[in-house]
Amino acid sequence: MTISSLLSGWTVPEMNEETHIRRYSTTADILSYKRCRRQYGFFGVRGFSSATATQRYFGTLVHDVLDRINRDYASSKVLPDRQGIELLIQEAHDRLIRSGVRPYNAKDQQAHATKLIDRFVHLIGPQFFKHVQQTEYRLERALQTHTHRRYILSGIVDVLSGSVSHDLGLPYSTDPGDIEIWDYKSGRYPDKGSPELQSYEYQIRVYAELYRQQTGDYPARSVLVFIGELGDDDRWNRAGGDPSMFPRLVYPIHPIAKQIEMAMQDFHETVEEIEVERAKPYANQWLPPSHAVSIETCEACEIRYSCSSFKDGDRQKQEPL
Amino acid sequence: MELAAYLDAVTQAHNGTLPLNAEQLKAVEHGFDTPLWILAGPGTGKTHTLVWLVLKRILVDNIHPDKIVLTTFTRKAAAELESRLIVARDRLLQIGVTVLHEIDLSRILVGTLHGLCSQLLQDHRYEPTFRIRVLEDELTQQFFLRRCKNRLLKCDDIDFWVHFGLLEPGSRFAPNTAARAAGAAKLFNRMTENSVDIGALRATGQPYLILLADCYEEYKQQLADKYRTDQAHLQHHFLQFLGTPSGQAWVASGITVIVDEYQDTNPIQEQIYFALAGAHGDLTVVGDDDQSLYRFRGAIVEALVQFDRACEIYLSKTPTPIYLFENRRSHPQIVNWVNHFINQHPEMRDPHVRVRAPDKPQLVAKSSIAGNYPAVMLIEEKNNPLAAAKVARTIDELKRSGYVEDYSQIALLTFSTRETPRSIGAYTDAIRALGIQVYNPRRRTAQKDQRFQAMIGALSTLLDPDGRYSALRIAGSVRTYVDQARSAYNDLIMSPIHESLRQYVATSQNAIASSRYTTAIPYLTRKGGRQVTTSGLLYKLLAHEPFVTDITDAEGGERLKALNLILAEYESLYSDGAIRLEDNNGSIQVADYSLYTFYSVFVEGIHDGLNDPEDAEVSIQPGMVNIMTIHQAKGLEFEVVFVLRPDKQPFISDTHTLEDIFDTFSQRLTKPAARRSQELRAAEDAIRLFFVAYSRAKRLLVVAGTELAKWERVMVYTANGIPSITKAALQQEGVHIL
Repeated sequence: MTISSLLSGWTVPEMNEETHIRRYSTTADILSYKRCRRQYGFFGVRGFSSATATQRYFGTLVHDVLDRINRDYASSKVLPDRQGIELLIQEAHDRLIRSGVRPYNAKDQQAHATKLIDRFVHLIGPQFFKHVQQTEYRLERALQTHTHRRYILSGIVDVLSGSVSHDLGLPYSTDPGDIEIWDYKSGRYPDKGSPELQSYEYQIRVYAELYRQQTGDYPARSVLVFIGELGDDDRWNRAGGDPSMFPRLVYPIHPIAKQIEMAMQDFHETVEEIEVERAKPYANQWLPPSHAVSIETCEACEIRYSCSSFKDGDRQKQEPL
Repeated sequence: MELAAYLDAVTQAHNGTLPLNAEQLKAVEHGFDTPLWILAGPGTGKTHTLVWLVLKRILVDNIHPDKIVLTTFTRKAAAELESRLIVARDRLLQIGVTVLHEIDLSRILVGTLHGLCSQLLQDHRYEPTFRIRVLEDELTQQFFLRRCKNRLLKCDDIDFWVHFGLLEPGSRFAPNTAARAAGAAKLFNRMTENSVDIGALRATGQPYLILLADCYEEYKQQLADKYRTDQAHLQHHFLQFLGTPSGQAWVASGITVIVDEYQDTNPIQEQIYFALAGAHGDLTVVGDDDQSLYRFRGAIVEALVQFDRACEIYLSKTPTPIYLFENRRSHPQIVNWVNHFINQHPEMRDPHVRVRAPDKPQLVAKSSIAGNYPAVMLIEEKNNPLAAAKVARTIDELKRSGYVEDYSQIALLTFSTRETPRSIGAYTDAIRALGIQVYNPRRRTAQKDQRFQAMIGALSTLLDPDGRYSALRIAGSVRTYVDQARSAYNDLIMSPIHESLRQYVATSQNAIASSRYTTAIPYLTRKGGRQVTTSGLLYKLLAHEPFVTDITDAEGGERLKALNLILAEYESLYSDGAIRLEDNNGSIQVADYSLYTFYSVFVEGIHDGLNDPEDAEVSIQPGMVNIMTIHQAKGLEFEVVFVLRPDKQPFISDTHTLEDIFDTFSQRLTKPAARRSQELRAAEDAIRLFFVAYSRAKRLLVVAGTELAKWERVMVYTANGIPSITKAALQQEGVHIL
């Protein structure tokens, strides 16, 4: 007897469509994907382990030490001297190593981070840290793309209050009642109009929108800090402690609804692209991007040898070791 | 918002019908006065109830989302819960509950307990765990134990291992190092989870217990010294954190704790949940003791079964039990089968010990699935190939005749998914023979996969060109494994299409031999001075055929990723993956130390077990018949379920021995007064496992295998306590014989 003859009254089931609402981090997902979808797919989605992780090392080192200085200052009102910073750098380095980050040339990177943070603290530190209201403030909202796809977006900023620019001698005006959100980048201010700068601008505008949704108001402004600007020794020596000698250290962005809307739209579209990519058959997912990828991004990527976007891949693939 | 207004809104959002039955409504309406004890049978709308309960907590009880801790068993289940909360919120928004605009559900702390512990400890910068590395699984833990040379790994006293159930009585040899590391990891995890009293272990004066206590203390110190923690200790740290001023301050304002899948909670998790709920006492647990599957990972089903006792002990309160029993998943005959199976099973009853939650009602079939057909069927043949042929034909016909739209609506569930003659090999062979695709990522243990071995072989050939180390310095099964791996690689490079791989390995061998070696920098470097790591070599190998194509295939890609991840964990413990060189009378070669760790730690660690067959995360591949273990099927449902080889069942193991041993020394407050025998506990495990398997089916359940007489434990019983293990008896129970 066949099974068909037995199934009287069977109703054919429909395929279940799952609603899957994913979490996206602005840096680990959106910006990574924009940088290179293939690299993001392999390391960010499929979960391959990166053997280098150099970029993550430096950024996290700077970030962790600034966070620690912030917290210590909040309780003691004391800022560390260079020796203290070296100690904090060493502690942060040890933590990163034990968490599995494997840096290349760690000594040089530590020395560079120490220099940048020491200069940051001494240039604007006393005036800056007193305004920090909250470090590592988590922004997190459930959002919807233009196709009504839902997702959760998260990011982390520092929240500052008061007349920050006035105290720091920065060339824009602030009021005592202002609230600002700050995000630190360990590198230098990118070229005007570069995709990198545009990504950062979009990111901080999206943060402003998340902050509004979370608290009811936009921050008075969002501020990007490019700590890497302090690495120029000549300029540092000439500056003699004058912050205005580093005009590209602090980049304020005012909340303009139209620009924020554009940034949100850009993020929504990126989420759409990622979701479309995820839904493709395994073999067709995460192909090399059609846009140009920076050489630094490629050189830090272990799957570059078989990537059609990386021109030197074939040669490097056959190089021994 | 008032409760009545909330329920009105929920009703409006569902076209005028409240989407909650009487019991679900009781759960949603429940306040904070007593803990809530929701016993939810399969398919009874547990997640659905939780969603409306959480929204009620927020909208009616005014709990801020970031004061709600909502945990479940897997990341996938947590993501689903979060998704459903957002969808439910949107439904309420659509009918004008505008207050929800100001509420962001992403602030709810939803996830697995491990994940939440990790996040909260990081958020609070809890110093003992800040940016420390978590040993994610038992294999990583084993690498760590070997790296630290924990004293237990040197224990070659056969009786010690037999005492803890980690070696068969009468064994002539002590376990090898890899097996000792696996045993040590298991022992230490159970000790942490049970808050074992180390002083009491020592006070017994028993040498084995004293040795264990010493080695455990040593392990804890090694974790601290190396800034690492394991999953069990991560939870222990979290419990400690809750006792600090910072933790107390966080809990003081009151945390609403909702725990899904509570039947698979372990003792330390139980402590955490009660500590989180604190004096506020807003604790809701949801689960089904009949679906408890993770005893082997330390779960204690009595956490749910005796939740009332635990509430008295911790909170001096009596919880309110609510039973969800309306099954909306399955055909009435399937509901009848699972009811019959669990309720009449003699081994699930005990006059002295509470085996199941008290006063549980039977499931009531409420699904829209009806149809006048036999929904429970049996295939039993003389041998597995015959049974398999019938299973394959049935699957083929179900699809060809349009009873299912896609093969992924059919699942094959089994105790072990290995495609061997001793397991389900005959079944997958028969299905594939009909041209039907099968998704069974764990069909072989990954380390036995030909390509996986070829990759190990390529690494071995590159680092140890003439096999000087592997041939002389490693022994036994590891050497056999390495030989197989090298052969697999050699077979590959015989083909001209893999010439580029052969060339790469050959030029790399030459590069090693011509490396500059100094005692100051005795490491293998690439042009430019950058250190070469084994992981780096793996990535270069992955750029060549056949690996570069393998990585684009779902199964191949996942296997190579598994290798990549394990290698990264191994390297984090051994010189960050750097490869040492040595000068052997003028010839430069990879140093013995690096080859020793590569072979005797890394390869030995993976060669006899890599995949965790009970991995809780599972994805369903469309267009294919999905095969999974019953453990993996937990929380899922399928239109058609074949339960294969019911003769294969859980048995008494070290799990039960360790439960008994550590129970004596556990400092857990809720330790049960009495325990059943090991045999009866193993029986419970088998019965619950098959209860889960049977209850996954929506429209059709087929049980298939051979030797019906051996299915005694997992078949239904008559009212007189007689197992239905003949075809005639099963027909009496309404089962159709195919």
